[in-house]
Amino acid sequence: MNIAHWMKKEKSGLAFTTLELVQAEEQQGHGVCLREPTDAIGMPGALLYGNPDTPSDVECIHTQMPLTSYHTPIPKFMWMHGEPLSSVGNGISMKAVIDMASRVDAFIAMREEELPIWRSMKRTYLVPKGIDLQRFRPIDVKPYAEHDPTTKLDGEPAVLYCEHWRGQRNPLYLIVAMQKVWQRFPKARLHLFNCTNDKMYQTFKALIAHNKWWTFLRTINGPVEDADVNRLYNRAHIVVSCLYPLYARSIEALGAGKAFLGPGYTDPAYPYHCQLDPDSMADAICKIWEEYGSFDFRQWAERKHDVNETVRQSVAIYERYL
Amino acid sequence: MSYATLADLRSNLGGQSGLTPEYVAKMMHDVPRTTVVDRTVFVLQQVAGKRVLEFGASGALHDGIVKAAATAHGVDRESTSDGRVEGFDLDDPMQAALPISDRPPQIIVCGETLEHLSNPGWFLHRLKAQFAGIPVVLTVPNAFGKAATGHINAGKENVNIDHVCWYSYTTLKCLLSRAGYTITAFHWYGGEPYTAEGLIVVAV
Repeated sequence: MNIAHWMKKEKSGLAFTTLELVQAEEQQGHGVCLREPTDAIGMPGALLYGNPDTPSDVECIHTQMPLTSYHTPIPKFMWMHGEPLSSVGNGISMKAVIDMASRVDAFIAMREEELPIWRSMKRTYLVPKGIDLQRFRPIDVKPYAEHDPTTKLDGEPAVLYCEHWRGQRNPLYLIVAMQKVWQRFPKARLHLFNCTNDKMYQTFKALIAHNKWWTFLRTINGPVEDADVNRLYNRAHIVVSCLYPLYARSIEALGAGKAFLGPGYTDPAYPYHCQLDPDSMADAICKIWEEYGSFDFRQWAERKHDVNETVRQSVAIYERYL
Repeated sequence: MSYATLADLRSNLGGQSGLTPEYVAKMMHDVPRTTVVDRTVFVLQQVAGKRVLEFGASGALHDGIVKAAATAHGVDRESTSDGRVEGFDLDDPMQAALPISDRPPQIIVCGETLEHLSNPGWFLHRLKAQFAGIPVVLTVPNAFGKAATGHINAGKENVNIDHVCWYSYTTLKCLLSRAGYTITAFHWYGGEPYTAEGLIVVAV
């Protein structure tokens, strides 16, 4: 099958997820073409990857599609990367979804919790949220050594936050939770990465100083290089997301064989859950640490979050429309 | 551009999206990182102890310049009775030469003046021709300032009724360079970088 993807080139979870889908499709023998949706006048944008000359059997929309795709008979599927409430909240995304809804054949969602919302607008299929398990995998990391960023992060447990910091998406509740964790496990340490906003950085620097959080909070850094993201997961014991009601890229930690905790991650078969509440998060982190080693997170990722399975199921959906 | 591998593309996410290299070269411009300063303090530091020629000589800044400078010759639309400010219409096409004080100035100040002029380029050309090599301190409202843009979604422009244009760092730099000036110092005043109330430049 030849699959075309329309994706805006930007550094976002949406883009990373799309690239994983494209890679897995190619590995499964499909033809792929990845383009920016539009140029300045709404025509197809720049080719990003793949072969533009082979006619596509299906088109996948990840942000927008060009005007030239509006009236073609090629089946079209809109991947629902964003969380519905945020899509309304940002003032743009939900309107774009609705503008496109009548032009596509179906939506494809990756979180069961969102199905009622997306299905209120369009026929919606559910596929598992997959990650690249070849890229996100366990690797050996040397024991912690001060000032050596290639070694394990300091702490027992070493807790990592590396979601994108934006507005209400920030580690405030996690830091408060870590106060409680630290009281129970005095060697517990928290490491914050991926802070790219200077105002956010200054706010948290002030909070850390005022609240004396430096007793357990040892890192507040910017992003790591793309090639080092898997190593970063492997340097920690527990990776925590503060997103709710969704979860995002931090599930990559499961691929690295590390514990993942997020208030938006509600799979009942997963042993560790929390609410977006410092006490609840603290209790869950303590539980994970007490039971550390008893649950195989990598195996869970292989069962639940293999992008190859995502592609197999999505291709099966596409085939119904050919 | 097309990438050879998905890994290459992943490493280059976050660059300019949807824009051709030609568009980026023509339309997308980095603004230098610089500090926010107090406009009055900055200008008075520049003029302290010097012979000053000031265009747009009125208000509190003018009063401060008179006190801080060794001598201050002002130019404004209306002259003052004390003789310190000379009346002159900078937009008058019949006035080829700008006013000049008895002794050549050591520094020129144009505080919130350019945006009032119908032909700011002509003014700057005359300034450069008559006062070559003498630094000019210019302040202008910021086109992208919060105050400038904050009301437009409600259908209101927050702009002085006498202004004829807005300046950004890029447009001010372009206008100055056409008149032969080079910016040697750049700061914001009032607010935060990029969205501050205005820009201050020193050009020679």
